[in-house]
Amino acid sequence: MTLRRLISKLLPAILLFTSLGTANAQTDTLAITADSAQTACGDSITDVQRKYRNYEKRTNWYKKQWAALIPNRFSLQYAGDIGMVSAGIGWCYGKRGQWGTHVFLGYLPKNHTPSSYWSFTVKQVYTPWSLPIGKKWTIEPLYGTLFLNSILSDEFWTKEPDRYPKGYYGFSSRIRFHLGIGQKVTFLVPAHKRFLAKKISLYYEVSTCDLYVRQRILSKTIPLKDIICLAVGVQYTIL
Amino acid sequence: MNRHTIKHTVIGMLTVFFMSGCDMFEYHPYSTKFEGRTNIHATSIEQIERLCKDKEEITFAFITDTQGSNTNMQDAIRLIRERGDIDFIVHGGDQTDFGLPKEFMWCRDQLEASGLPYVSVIGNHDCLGNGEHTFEYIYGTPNFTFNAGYIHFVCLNTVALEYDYSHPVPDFNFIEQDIETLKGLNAEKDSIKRTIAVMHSRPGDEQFNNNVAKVFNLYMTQYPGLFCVNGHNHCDDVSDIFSNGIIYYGCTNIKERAYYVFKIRKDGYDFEKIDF
Repeated sequence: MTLRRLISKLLPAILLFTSLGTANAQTDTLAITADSAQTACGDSITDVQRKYRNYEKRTNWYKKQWAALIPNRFSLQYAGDIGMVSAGIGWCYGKRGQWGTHVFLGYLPKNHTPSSYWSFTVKQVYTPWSLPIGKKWTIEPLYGTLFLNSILSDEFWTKEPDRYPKGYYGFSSRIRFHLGIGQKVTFLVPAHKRFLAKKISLYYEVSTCDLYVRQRILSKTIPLKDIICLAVGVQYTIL
Repeated sequence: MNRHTIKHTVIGMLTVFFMSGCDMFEYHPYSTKFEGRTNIHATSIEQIERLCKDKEEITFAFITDTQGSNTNMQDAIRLIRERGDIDFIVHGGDQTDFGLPKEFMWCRDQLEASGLPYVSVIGNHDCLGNGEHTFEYIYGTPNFTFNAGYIHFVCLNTVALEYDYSHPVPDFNFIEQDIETLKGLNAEKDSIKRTIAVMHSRPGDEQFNNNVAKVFNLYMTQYPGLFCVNGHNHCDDVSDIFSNGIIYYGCTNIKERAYYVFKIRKDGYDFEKIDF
């Protein structure tokens, strides 16, 4: 059943991709043909119009699919184990907008290290509850997040370099897995006051990373606050 | 809900993270802001040299390969403190598992709790990520020497595999210069009776640049009254590697709940393994 639905969805897309060039070229001539044919025969008009309508339907579907890929969230975050300052774009989706996917580029200033770093993050957010407060405010009392961070520097490796015996360290110094929870408060900008943002949100989250969790499990003496990291951010929602 | 409730919620949220503390804003696990002591060797060495200047019997504890065994490390430090006869602590490297600044801080805080001066050599795990920079920031250069009374300590970076030939490991220029300085010092007044070489991995280990193991030995034989202490192998291994009377005291990791104590006198020394 699902397979049939999938095929029925995919088929027009395949057809569209293969006949896109010809379809575009036909658009202009089609309008002229439709005008000139109007006086000739009633039956052929409806036929041409029907064909044109079908074509429009398919292109609309095509546009809608690509439109879904337009990022509708822009974030700016401070700290949070992904950079001192990180800027990101994101997509909000799901029936209630409960899912969010964000990508961030973070900047790490020179610290005790001789160079600064850039880091890349992919973040998945799940928001189970969203409570409206009045007409302008919404509160997300708890959301969960899972994110993957990669520090973009040759000092760090994804796979152990060949110089090591196989499985010498058995971890990647470049890729970190993080798990966190957070809270968010959103202000819905009144329609007449909107410049770019439809909604402006402030959030904070606490998170930890894979290596910290491992060390904490090994040593109970490590204070919990040492393995937890805080982040604050602002998020703009457009569209 | 009214404006009042919103205000309360926002204030509540702000309180939560101000209570959790602003120091919890971390930029990255490999780029953490340091709290507490840094550049430790500079002050520790000065302290050790002052403390051991005219001492007849010098006692030091050798702990190695902490690597996340913080609880065991804590017990070891407590025992060292309770003994009361230890002058200073030498850490044999691998304070960390992943070279994270936080791991360095956890280990440093344990060593700080001893109330004694301490020094550390760099281990291979300490070099992971940007760990070698963190080590340098928190302790000092990975090759260093000091004199505890009549004992010369030469602490070397021997984890060659981590540097992939980009750095001289072991650094023979450093060793050569040190031998020259020592010769000059002994020619002036015969003050140095014994040398103790501290390293993380020793000749023969996969981390050591074994192509120069014999050359290393050749250089080391020039030190007066030498013995070596090392970690890395997570087992006790006391052996005369080159069959020339230079003993390498390989200490097991702290996870095995053991450390070594060396009691040095001008005419000899005692070595003891402490299990706890």
